[in-house]
Amino acid sequence: MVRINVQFKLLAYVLLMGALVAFVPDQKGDKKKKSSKSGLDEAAEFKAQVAGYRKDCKAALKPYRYSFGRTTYFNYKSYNTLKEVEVALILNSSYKFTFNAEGVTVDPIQVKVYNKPSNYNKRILLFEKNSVSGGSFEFTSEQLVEKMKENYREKGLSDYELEKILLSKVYIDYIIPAIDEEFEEDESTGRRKVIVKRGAIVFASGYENLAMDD
Amino acid sequence: MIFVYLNFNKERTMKKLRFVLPCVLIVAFYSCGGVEEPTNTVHLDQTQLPNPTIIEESSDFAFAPPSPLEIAGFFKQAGLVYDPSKLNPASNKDNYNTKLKKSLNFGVYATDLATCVVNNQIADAQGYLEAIQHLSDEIGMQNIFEQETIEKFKRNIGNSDSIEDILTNIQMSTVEYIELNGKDDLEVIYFAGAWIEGMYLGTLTLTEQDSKNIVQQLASQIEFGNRIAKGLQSVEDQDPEIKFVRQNIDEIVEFYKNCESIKGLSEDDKDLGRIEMTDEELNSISKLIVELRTDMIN
Repeated sequence: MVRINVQFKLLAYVLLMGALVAFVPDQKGDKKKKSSKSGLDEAAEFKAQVAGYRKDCKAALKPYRYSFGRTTYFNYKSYNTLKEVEVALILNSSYKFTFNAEGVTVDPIQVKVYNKPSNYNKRILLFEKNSVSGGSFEFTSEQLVEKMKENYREKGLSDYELEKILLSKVYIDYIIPAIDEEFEEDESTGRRKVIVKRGAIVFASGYENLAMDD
Repeated sequence: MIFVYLNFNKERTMKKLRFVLPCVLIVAFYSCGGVEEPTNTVHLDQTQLPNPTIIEESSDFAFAPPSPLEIAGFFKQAGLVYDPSKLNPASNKDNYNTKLKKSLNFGVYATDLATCVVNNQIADAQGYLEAIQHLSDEIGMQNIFEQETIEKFKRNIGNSDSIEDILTNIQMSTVEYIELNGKDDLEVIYFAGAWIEGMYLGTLTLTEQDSKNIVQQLASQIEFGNRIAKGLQSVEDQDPEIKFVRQNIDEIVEFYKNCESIKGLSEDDKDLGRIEMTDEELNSISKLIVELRTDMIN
C-alpha cells in the first residue's frame, strides 16, 4: 500500500512538472527569429515598413550629404531596456542627425545623446527627447557642441579652452520602457507564448560637404 | 529502475524526492525559457535613467562610422598629397581568394576610391569603382550597384560633385543592403577594411604634416578600433584569418592606450583636444598599422 502511495506521488509530481513545462510562457519566442509562420510574416512586414521610414530619414538630411544610417530594432520587455549606438564623427565637421520614429508604435521611448558610453559615469547629456513615438526629429552637431561648452563653462573653463572642444563620438541611447506582457497560444505547439511587441527607430547622419571643391 | 530503488529504502527515497523534484522543476522551468535574462549586461550610470534599466548590447553591430568620403576628405584637408602608389592597386582585386579577404578589401577599396575622388583623380577612381563592383559581385552584394553605375560614372567625369553623389549612393545602398539582409558579419569585416585603410592614410598624413588635429582624429579612430574588434569577435565563422585581424586591431588599440602620453589623460582632456603623442609613439603605432594593412591587402 505504501509502495503504491509512493508511486502515485511520483506520478503526480511528474504530471505536475509536465503541466508546468507546457504552460510556462514561451519567452524565447520574443527573439528575432520567429518559429511560427505568422511571426515570420509579421517581422518581414515590419521590416518592409521600416525600409520606407529609412528613406524618409535620409531625405530629411538635406542639404547635408549622407554619411551613415542605422536602424535599431527592439522588443518591448517586462523591464526597462537600453540600446546604445556609437557614432564616430570627423573632427570639426558639421553634422545633421535625423531620426524617424514612425516604427515606435507601442509605448513611447526616450532618446538621449551623450559624449561618452553608458558605462562612463561622468558623461555629458547633449540632447534629450522624451515620449518619442511616431514622427521625426533632428538636431545638429553644433547644438551638441554648444551643450558640451555649457557643461565645461560651468566647470570654470575659459573661452579660449572652450574653443578647443572636440566632439569625436556621440552615443545615442534608446530607453525602451517596460510593458505588461501579454500572452497568446501558439497554434502549432499549443503552448503559451509572449506576444512580441516590437519597435524600430531609424537614425541617419549627414555631413556638410567638406571643402572638396578645388 | 526507480521503482526497484524505492522498494529498497522508501523513507530515504521520499526525503530525496522532496529535495530533488523541486530542483528538477526549477531547472525545467528555466530551461524552457520561463525567465529570460539579457545575455550581455553591464553596469551603467543609473542616475540619468529610469530605474531600473538594463542595458542590452545589440546583437547587431551598433555603431555608425564616418563614410569613406568623409575620411578621405579630412585627410586631404589635413594636407595628405595624393600618391597612387600608396593605395592598394585596383589590379589586386583578382588576388583575393577567400570571402574574408574579398570583404576586407571591399572596405579598403571603398576608402581608396574616395581618396581618388576627393583628389579629382577620376581615371584612377574608375579602376577602383570597377574593383569594388567586382568584389561586391563576389561576396553576394551585387545589388548595391545600379545597372548603370559605371556608365553613369563615365558620363560624369569632370563633374566631381556628381561623382561624389554616385559614391554616396553606393554607400547608402551598401548600408541598406546590409540592414535589409541582416548581414552583420559582412558589415563588420567591410568596416574593418575601411577602418584600417583610413588609419593607414592617417599615418601617411602624419609623415607629411605635423598637425595636432591629425593626431586627435587618429586617436579617435584608434579608439573606434575597440568596436571593430568586438564586432569581429562576434562574427560567426571565426577562422584563423579573422582572429589574426582582430588580434592585430586589439594590439593597435592596446598599444595606444598604454602610451605614456595617453595613460595620464582624463576623458575631459580628450574632449578638450589635449592629446599629444611623442614621435616615437606615433612611429610605433604607425608601424603596427602599416603591418596589418600590408597583410590585409596581400
